[in-house]
Amino acid sequence: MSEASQPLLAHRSALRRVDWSAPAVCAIPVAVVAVMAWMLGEIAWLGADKLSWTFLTEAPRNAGREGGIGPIIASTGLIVGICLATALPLAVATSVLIAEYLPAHSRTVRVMRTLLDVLAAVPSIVFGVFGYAFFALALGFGFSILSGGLTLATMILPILIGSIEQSLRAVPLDMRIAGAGLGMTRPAVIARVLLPLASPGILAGTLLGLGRALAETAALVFTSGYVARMPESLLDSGRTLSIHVFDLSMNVPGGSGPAAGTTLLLVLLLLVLNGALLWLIAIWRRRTGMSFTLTP
Amino acid sequence: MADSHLASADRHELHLDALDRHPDVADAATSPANGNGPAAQRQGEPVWQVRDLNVTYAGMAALSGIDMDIHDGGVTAIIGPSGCGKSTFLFCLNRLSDLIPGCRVDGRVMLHSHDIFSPGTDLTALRRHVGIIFQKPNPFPTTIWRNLEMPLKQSGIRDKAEIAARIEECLTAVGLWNEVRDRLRRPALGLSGGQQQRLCIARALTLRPEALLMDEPCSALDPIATGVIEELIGEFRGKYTTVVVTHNLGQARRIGTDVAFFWNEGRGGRIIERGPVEKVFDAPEDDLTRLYVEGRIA
Ligand SMILES: Nc1ncnc2c1ncn2[C@@H]1O[C@H](COP(=O)(O)OP(=O)(O)OP(=O)(O)O)[C@@H](O)[C@H]1O
Ligand SMILES: [Mg+2]
Repeated sequence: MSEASQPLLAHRSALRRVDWSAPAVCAIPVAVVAVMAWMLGEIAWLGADKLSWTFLTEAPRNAGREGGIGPIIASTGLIVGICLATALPLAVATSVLIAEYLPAHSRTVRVMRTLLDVLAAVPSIVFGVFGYAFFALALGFGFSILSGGLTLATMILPILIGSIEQSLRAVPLDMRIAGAGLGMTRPAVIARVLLPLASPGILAGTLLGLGRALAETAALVFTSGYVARMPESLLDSGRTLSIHVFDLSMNVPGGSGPAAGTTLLLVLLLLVLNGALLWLIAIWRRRTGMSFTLTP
Repeated sequence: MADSHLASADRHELHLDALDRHPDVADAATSPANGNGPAAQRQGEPVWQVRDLNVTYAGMAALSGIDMDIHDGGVTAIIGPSGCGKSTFLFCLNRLSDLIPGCRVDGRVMLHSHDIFSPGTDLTALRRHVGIIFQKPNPFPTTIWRNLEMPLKQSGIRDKAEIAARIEECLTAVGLWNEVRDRLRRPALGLSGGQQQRLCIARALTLRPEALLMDEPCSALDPIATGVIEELIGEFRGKYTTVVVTHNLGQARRIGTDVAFFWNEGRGGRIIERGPVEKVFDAPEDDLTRLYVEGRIA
């Protein structure tokens, strides 16, 4: 064997090692995707025949075994609506304060960020207990859609603030100086230049918060309760989709059919919201001529 | 020479809000008496009088003891090696220095005898009155139209016809109207670098400023786009008071009426020599200036 063939052989064996490891590496994501597909497939399989116009509009009967989820959809919409309507403006205001007005390394900002990090890591049941003590008892809202929505708002606030602050900081200093150089006041630069530029990040954060809110059960059991009647006011108790799924699965023998139908609706809702987000970001890209990726 | 202006300064006590220039006032400045070269400009009151300006960044000196007059309708070229404080100087002329963390300014910057660093200065009015252009074109990432409309609306102009007229006027002034008239609603970031820079100049012009500050406006552009901008600055002579920072000595000579040569020996940038462009380039008094303009030191 000539000397020249030695490196070639070494090269071959290296290739062979790669040949073995590549499928192994590929197998991990394939397995993860397969598990997800299986879960979604099962939900779709079990829930598909449940999803009908009557199921979506009728009130539940016989503890939810029969009838539909109309009032539950309404309560979910109200609770999530209150949650976003309070959390979003508060989060935007707080992020603007942190990112634009307070000095970046000031003590106040450090303390606020630590508190927000702690809040983001608090288990949701703690928010439930807080919401019960504060909104339901202290403010007298009782077990109500209002208490539930506000409790969810406090819960997703740290997530929203985190992502909005980050996207504000990601706007280049250029834009601030360009605005100031044109004699725009600081609030005008923030409202007209920075927030529009940060809007994909704000939308992404909102979706993340919305996902958390839609999935929540523990914090709501203590605050909005689980009455499955059609709410007549914000001070009525109301049951969300997630709580309905939880209740049907845990407390109602023979409730797995409607549970699967409700779960399928939740999954579809999240898919639609994600689709809407991508669509809005595509519009934003076309308008601004800028590129934006969700994972910078 | 410079200090003689200070004696007459007090009769010129103006407030910035009153400085909003009317187009006909700007046009009047193009009359031969004002626009015919540096000698003629010496006659008027300087637009800026900078006295003993010292700037530090977090304690580190960036400019020390700058004295300078900037004349009406002229193009003042600021030259000097990197880090000598040219941008810093420019930022002090409209107080954008306020935005830079750690930047401390000492001394007086008088704009028509009003010290712009005195408390109570209306920064919004000041910056509308003095436009600024940067090295990297910085259009807002929105449509061409909205880029131009935003500063106008912010300055309180609501009349649609007036806004449209000013936008066309300013795009025409920078030679961009015919290139973009059909794509005003398209993203500004879709324009070429040179077009973006001209858009930024047009955006500053919409507010009808008296003066324009330009920080290396061509250094991100190709030679042809550079030529277009240089020509434009040539047209500004007599209409606007222009201060241009440039690394390109040929450019300083082509477009400048006055030149200031900055140099930093480590204790903050100083002005080594300033004066009419012919004098500084052809008959410099200082040896350092001579070496620099001959391109023998960088
Ligand atoms: N934001 C800042 N923070 C701290 N130091 C700064 C800052 N900006 C500038 N400096 C320092 O101040 C000095 C002058 O900077 P400046 O940007 O004004 O120089 P310049 O002449 O414009 O240089 P260039 O030709 O490279 O643009 C430099 O030594 C620089 O390091
Ligand atoms: Mg510079």
